Amino acid sequence: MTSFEDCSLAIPQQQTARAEIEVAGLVVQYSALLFRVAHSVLRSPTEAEDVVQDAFVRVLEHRGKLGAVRDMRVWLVRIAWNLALDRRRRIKPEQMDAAFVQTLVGTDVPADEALAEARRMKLVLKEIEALPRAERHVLLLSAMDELGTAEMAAILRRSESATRALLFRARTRLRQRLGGGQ
Amino acid sequence: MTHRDEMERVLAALAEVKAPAELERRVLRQLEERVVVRSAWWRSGWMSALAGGAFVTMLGLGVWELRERSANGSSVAGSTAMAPLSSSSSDPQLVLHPSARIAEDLGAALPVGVHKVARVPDRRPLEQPAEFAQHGFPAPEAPLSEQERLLLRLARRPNQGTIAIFDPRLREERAAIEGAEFEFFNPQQPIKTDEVEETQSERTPGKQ
Repeated sequence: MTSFEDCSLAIPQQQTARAEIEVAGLVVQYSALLFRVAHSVLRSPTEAEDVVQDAFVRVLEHRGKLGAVRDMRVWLVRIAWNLALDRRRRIKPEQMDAAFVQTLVGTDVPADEALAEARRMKLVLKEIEALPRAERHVLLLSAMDELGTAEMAAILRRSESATRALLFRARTRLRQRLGGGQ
Repeated sequence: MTHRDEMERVLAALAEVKAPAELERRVLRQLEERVVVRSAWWRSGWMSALAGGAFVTMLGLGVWELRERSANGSSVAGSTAMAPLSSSSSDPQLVLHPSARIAEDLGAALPVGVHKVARVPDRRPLEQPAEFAQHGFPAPEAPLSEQERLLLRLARRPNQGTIAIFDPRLREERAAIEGAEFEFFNPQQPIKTDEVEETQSERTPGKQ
C-alpha cells in the first residue's frame, strides 16, 4: 500500500489540521471509486483524474462540515458525479471511445476480429449515449458494483423505486436498440 | 457473442477501470499545495494589512509630529523674542546675532557671552549694511520741480470762501461780490419797452 507520510497537509490551525487528516483519509479510501464514476461519464482517464482532484478540493473547502455528512461515500460520489456531468458539457465522450475500446478488445485475436469487436463495442457505447439522460445515468451508476440501489437513488436524488424502474427501462431499451441494429 | 453480452462486457469494463498509478499521491499533493498557497495568501494578506496599518500609523504620527513642531516653533520664537527682556544679568545676550548664526553654521566656536538658543526663523527686516548706508542707499528723495512747488502752494493757500463763513465782514463782502456778478450775468433782467419796439421796427420795416 502506498504510504502518505510525505503528503501530510500542512494546516496552521490545529483545529483544521484534524479535518485535513480526515480529508487525506478520504482521498486514500475513495479516489479509485470516484475515478471510476467520473470515467464512466467521461471515458477519459485524464479528465476523470481532474474530476477526482476537483472533488477533493471541494471537500477540502467544506472540511469544516465533514462531521455533518451522514454517508460519506454517497456524498463524495455525488460531488464527483456532478463535476463529471459539468465537464461532459465541454468534451465529447464519443471522441474518447476509440481509446477506451482498444483496452477492451483482446490482443490475442486476429486483427479483423479485433476490428469487428471494437466496432461493436463502440456501437454499444454509442447506444448508451443515445439513451434518455435519466436512464443513462442510472445505467452508468449501476455499472459500479459498489453502489446499491439506495445509494444510486441518493446520488440521483430519486426514490429507490424510480431508480429501479429507470434501470429496468434503460437495459430494456438498450437491448432492443442493439438487437434492432443487428 | 450476443449484444447482451457485449452490453454487459462494456458495463463491466466501465466498472473495472483501474485508477492511474499514484492517483492518491497526486491528489494529496495538489491539496497540499492548495492549502499552502491559501495559508500563504492568508498570511500575506494579514501581513499586508498589518504593514498598511503600520504605514498609516507612521504617516499619521509624522503629520502630527510636524504639526506639533510647527506649533512649538512659533511658541519658541515668541519665547526667544521675549527672552532678553526677562533674562537675568548673567545672560548678557540670548538672541544670536546673524554673524554668530553663520559662525555656528560653519561649526566655529561661539564667542564668549553668546549663548546658544533654539534656532527660530528670523523674521526681522534685514539690517542695512554699512557700505550701503554711507553711499545713501536707497537714493534720497529728489527735489520738487517748479510745477510741483506751485501746486503745493495752491493747495496750502487758504480758501477765501471757506474763511468768509466764519468772518461776518468778509462774508458780507463776499455776498456783495457774488450778487453783483449774478445781476451782471442775469438774463432775466428787465428790458426797457421802447428799446423793444425799436428793435421790432428795425427788424420789420415793410409793415410801416
